[in-house]
Order: sequence, then C-alpha cells, then structure tokens
Amino acid sequence: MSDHTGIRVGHVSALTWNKLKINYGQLRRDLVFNTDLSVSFRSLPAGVAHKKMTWDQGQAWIAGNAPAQEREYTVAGKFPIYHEQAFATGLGRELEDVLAGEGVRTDLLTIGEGVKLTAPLIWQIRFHDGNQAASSQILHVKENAEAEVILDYGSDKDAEGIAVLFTRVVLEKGARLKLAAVQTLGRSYIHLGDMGLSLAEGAGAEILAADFGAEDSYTGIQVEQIGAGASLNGRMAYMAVGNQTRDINYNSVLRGKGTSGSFTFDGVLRDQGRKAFRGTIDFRRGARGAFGSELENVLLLSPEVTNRTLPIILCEEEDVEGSHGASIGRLSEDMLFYMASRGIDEKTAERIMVRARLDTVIREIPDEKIRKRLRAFTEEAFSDESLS
Amino acid sequence: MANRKVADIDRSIYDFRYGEEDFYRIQSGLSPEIVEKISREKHDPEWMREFRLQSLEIYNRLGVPNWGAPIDGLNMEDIATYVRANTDMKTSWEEVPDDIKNTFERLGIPQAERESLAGVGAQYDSELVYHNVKDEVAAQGVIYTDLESALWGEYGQMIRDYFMKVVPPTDHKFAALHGAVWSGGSFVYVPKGVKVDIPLQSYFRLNAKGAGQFEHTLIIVDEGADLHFIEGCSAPKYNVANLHAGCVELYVKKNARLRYSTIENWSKNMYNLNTKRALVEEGGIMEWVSGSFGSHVSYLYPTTILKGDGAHCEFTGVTFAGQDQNLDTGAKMIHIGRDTSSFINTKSICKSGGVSTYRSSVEIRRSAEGARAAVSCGSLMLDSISRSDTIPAMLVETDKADVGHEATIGRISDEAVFYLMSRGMEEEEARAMIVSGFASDVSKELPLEYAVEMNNLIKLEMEMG
Repeated sequence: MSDHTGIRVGHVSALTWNKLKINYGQLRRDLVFNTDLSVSFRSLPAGVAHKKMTWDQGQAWIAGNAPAQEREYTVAGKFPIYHEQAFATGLGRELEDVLAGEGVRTDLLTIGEGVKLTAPLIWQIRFHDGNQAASSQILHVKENAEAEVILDYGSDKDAEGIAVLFTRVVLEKGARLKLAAVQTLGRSYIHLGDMGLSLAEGAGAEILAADFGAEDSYTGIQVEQIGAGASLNGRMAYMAVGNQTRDINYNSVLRGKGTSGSFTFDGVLRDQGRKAFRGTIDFRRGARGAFGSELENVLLLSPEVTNRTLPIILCEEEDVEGSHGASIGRLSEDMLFYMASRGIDEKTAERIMVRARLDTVIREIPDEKIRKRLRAFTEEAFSDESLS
Repeated sequence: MANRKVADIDRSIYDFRYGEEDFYRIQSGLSPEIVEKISREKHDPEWMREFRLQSLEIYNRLGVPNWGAPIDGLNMEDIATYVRANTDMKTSWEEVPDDIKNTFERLGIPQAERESLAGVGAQYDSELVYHNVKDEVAAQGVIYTDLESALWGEYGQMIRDYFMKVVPPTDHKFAALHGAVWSGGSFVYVPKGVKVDIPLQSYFRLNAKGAGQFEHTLIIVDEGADLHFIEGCSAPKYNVANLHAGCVELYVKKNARLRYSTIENWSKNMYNLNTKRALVEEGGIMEWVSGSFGSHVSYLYPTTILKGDGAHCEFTGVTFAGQDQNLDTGAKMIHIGRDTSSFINTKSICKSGGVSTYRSSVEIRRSAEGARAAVSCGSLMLDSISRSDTIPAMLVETDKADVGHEATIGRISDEAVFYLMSRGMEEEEARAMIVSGFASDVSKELPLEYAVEMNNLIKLEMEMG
C-alpha cells in the first residue's frame, strides 16, 4: 500500500489566480485502499456482456477501442499541463496513476450493437464502515445501441471510508446513453467520482449526477464530443450541509462539427458547507456550428458557507455559440414575500426551494425506488439541525 | 460568408519615433546598483531609496505567474528601466523640446487640453516633460503635479502614507519591479467636497527602444469630492521588447466619486504588465472605463476594494486583440463593506490570430452582507485563427449576497449582415458597424473626443478580401 497524501484532482482547463484556490481540488487525507471490490450481476439483459479485467487489460482495451483523443500537453494553448491522459477524465491523471499503482480491477460492460434496453441497468455498490476501495468500470455502448444505466452507491449514514468510482464511457456512432451517478455515502466518507466520456458521430449522452453524501466529495467529468453532431446534456445536483465539501470539475470539449453540450448545476450550501465548481466549455478549431452552454444556480442558506465558482469558455472556432450563466445567493426577498402572503413561513419556504433545486436531477432518475430514497436522504439532511 | 473584411487597427498615427540623442539612459538590466543609481538620479528621500531596494529583494524572490499569457519574450537584462530626455518638466507648452512637443502634437494632446481638459500631464519615457493645470481648478485647491516634486512638498507625508499601500510590492512580481524602479507619473489630490467639472488627463509616451516605463499614478479624492481622470498611452513599434509596468493607486473617500478612463494603445512589441487598484470608502463610487487595443502581451485587471459600507463600482471595458497580440484583461472586485455593489461589463474582440482572454474575480467576503455583484462579458470571434477565452471566478463567503454572472461568445451573425446589406450597405461596412456597435458600451462612456479616438482605433477598414 503506497501513500498518496494530498494528491490534486480536477485540474482546471485554464489556470487563474492561485490566491483564489480554485485551480484544482486537493485531498485532505491519504488515498489508501484496504478493500477489493468484486462486481457481479445477478442477471443481465440480452445483448449486454460483463467482463472482468485487470487494470492493465482495461488500459489496453481503452487504447484499442476508444476513439483517438488528442493527448494534450498544454492548458488552453498556454501552459504545459502535468495531468495529460490518453483518455481524459474530469479528475485527471494523478488519480489514474494512484489506481494504476494499486492495480485496481476494471469491469467492462458492453451493450451490443443496435441493442435497445427497455429498463435501466442498475449498478449498485454498497460501501461499509472502514472500507477504502476503488471501482473502475468501462461502459461500452456500441453503434446505435440505447441504454439507461444507474451507478448507485452509498453506505450507512455514519460510515467512514474512501470510495473511488472511476468510470470511462465509450459511445459509438449513434449510441445513446442516459447515465445517472447517485452518491449517498456516509458522513465521514471521502468520495472521488471520476468520469470520462467519448462520443462518436451522432452519439448522445445524458448525464445525471446527484452528489449528496460523503464529507469530502470530488467529482469530475470530461466529455469529448469527437464525432459530428454528438450531443451532451448534463445535470448535476449537490448539497453541502454541516461540514461537507464539494469539489466539482466538469469539461465539455466540443471537437466535432455541429456538436452540442449543455450542463446545468443546482446546489444548496448550508452551515459550514463549502463548494468549488469549475466548469468548462471548450470549443476546438473545426467545431463549426457547435453550441455549448452551462448554467449554475447556488442557493446559500447560512452565513458561514463558502462558494467558489469558475465557469470557463475556451474558444478557437469562429462559428460557434456559447454561453454561461451563474446565479449565487440567498432566497429572493420577492419569493419570501410571495410565500409569506400565502401563509408559508420562511423555514418552510426554504425547505420548498431546497427540494425544488435538488429535484431537478432526482426526478429525472429512471427508477422510482432510488428517487424515493434520494428524496428521503435530502429531507433528512436538511431537517438535521444538529449539523448547523 | 466568404469575405472577412474587418481589418486590423490602423496604428500608423502612433508609429513614429524620434532619436535619443542627448538622452540619459541607464544601463539595461536590474541590480541593486542600478536601483541605487535611479534613486540618486531622482533625488529620492531616504525612505524611498530603502523602499526601492526592499522592492527589488521582493522582485527577486517572487516567480512569474503560472497563469496568463506567456511572457518568455521579456528579458529584464535587455530592458533599460530609466530613460530621461535632457529636459526639465515644463509648465509652458512652448518650452517643451521640439521632438517631444511634435510627438504630443501629433497625438492631439495640447489640442485636447485647450478644448476640454482641466489639466494635462505628459510623460515621455521615464519622466514627465509637461504638466499644467487650469487656474480655476488650482484655485479650488486641486493638486495635480508630478509625484517626484510632491514627495518633497507639503504633500510629502501624504504620499508616504499612501504610496504602494493598496498595491504593496509583495502583491506580484511586477508590482515589486515597479516599487524598485518607478519613475514619473502623477499625484492628484481633490479636497473635500470639490467637484472638478472637466477631466484631468495624463498621457504616457514611451519613445525609447528596449526600455521600460514605470510611472506611478496616485489619486486621492477626498470626502464628497468628484473627479474624472483620463490616461492615454502609446509607443512606436520596435523589433525588441519594451515593458510597461505602471501602477495606479486610487483612493476614493467617503461619498466621493472617481471615474478613471483609459485608452491604451501601446505598440505590438510592448509587454503591458500594469497594476491598477482602487480603495473605496463608505458610499464612494468608483467607475472604470477601459479600452485595451495595443501591446504584444497585456496583463491588466483593474481591482476595486469596496471597503466602506454602500460603496459601489462599475467597470466597463473593451479589448481588441489582433495579429501578434495576446491580451489578458478583465477586472477584480473585492467586497468587504456591507451593502456594497459592483457591476462588470466587458466586450472582447479578436481577429487575425489574436488571443483575447477575459479574466475576472468577484470576491464577496463574509463581512459584506447585502452585497450585490453582476458580471456580464461578451466575446466576438472574427475568424477561426484567433482565440478567445473567458475565465471569470466568483468567491462568495456569505449567504446574504446576490451574485450574477453571464457570458456569451459568438460571431457576427449572417442575418444581421444580410439585414444591413438589404438596407444598401456594403458587406464590409455592415460588419464594421456591427463590431463598433458591439464595443459601444465603452465608447459611449467616454468624452466625445476620446470616443472618436477609440472609434479611430477600431478603424475597421474594408479593403481586404
């Protein structure tokens, strides 16, 4: 077991002032594993295959099957970067190196050509108190296949540990994937949820991320829209209550003609909750007719919260349309007044607004049981005054 | 749309130069000996000599930024930090030496003074060569003078109290460099309650090849007072690097208002690593109007510290990056007082391989309850060999704040061009009109004659195919 204290993850796509402490996320504790995860599916639908691989086999599969990405060495055409990857993920090279060093096993799930799944595939991982473990998976959606996958992972409320989810997704031509990542780990967990996706021509990905549990949570996603017309629609909901911290790094890289990417982030911070968000729309030369947008809404509910937001647009192509917006603050006076005029007190109004924010993602998750559980989880977190 | 006819800025009116015969020029490079020599040349008080040497130590200790545009082409060993024309500062235009006078005549400075300014300072290389303020403004008690003579006069202690306090040399490497080798610049003091109706202006001209300009502008607008200050800068083009590392420190006292307008048009061999910062007290208003057109590389982010309750700041800026230009510009707002408010509105345009980066930060500190901040930035790409990046950061440490941000990037819409052409315009004319309209947020904030200068700068010629 090697010691990986304080690795940096989620490097921003273009550096800015170091004083702002937003260029990367830094782990506060060692990243050491003590548990091997073994994945097995009770039954898989027709057209879906599961294969267990070693780390090296997984890397070889990526090298042989993933569409070529530019292996990048600079930040926004300016500075050399130190986290280049053959297949880019949001949290970046240092985490990948740790997983390689630990020899984490990789699971490959393949959805066959033209296969259209009628029900979501639920990939559930239950972590226990004291677990320090990583799960590496590759989702391969072949040509014109369609699937919904839910990565559902959590633990007991008071559990302590480390959970790393390292997910790479390859969408072939015309493939469609709805991928939901649902995190409800215990209050003393460290969570690293890392994703990388590559989209071939006409492929479409819808990403849903509900980041609710764990003490420190680092999430990253990089989507490479390589083929013409590839599209991405991402939504994330998160909360940071008590002493929770969230560190988020999302990159949408638009390379192909007519690609489109849009991300929405809805978050609520309360108590001493802390959050750093980096989101990038990256228009590459040749992405003619591309469209990219990102929007972040943050609701601040306590005087001691800390919110960092860095929404970036990088652009080297003329024929594109890009926008980003952010709205950070308290509940509006107008809203509270309206609610009061309807007999709703401030506390209840707050609860309604929190529910509305987080439900933007929860309601889209294609499984009723999971939706119910997430609603209960967030209700409990916000009613727990011991945190404040 | 096959034709892309928006041309680069026509810089020919700025690109003339005179020789340096009879000039005093310090040896290139940076060492304690050179700093001592500058200090002697400038007859510094002892505290300033020590300040310079301490700043040099800080400079040697600090690294260059790891973000922003590359500055590899800048080698301090090749830069002369002090170049002085063989003339004293004049208060009569006729007494200014001919070469220098011609320079400013060609730039239209004395004409502007006659017509619409309350006072003018003109700096040529490292020293002010001309300074004048209208009698009626002086009679109001307004002080507008060069910083060096103010150091020894009745405002000496005031300068000591304020000089490099809001931009300490420890801030970054080029602030430290400035602290070590600063020369020239202006000191303005507007007494309590005095409203200066027409603007004051400083113009900075760097004529010398391979040299640096490090002027320091210190403005104090006392309680309830009001001032509009304009600075302009230009230089002829050389094939070696020139450096501008000026420093502007602005103090806006209780209920005072200061508007600071800049039209920057350095030549394309200039590294413009400039620092501007304002400290605004209770109820004070700071307004920045900033046009960045010139230089090879720029790092420019005017910063406003909204310290007093109810302080307010607006920043309006436009940046135009053409061939061989990498302009990294924006603004910073730091909210400390309660109920403070800020608004940033910027436009970036890039073409012919130019790189334009909008970079900003808005910080709402925990004490800034009731703060409101809004950022709006637009970028226009005129071709696909250029690059435009938008990097706005927001740090919020209280829930009692409202922060909004919006940014867009795009190109000139074919529909808009088509519409204007259907009204009888040539395509080039239509594109130019759209670009001028895009930048009009800034030009409409400038006094008329400067708006005209800016429109000349964005002189979007139509001849190329």
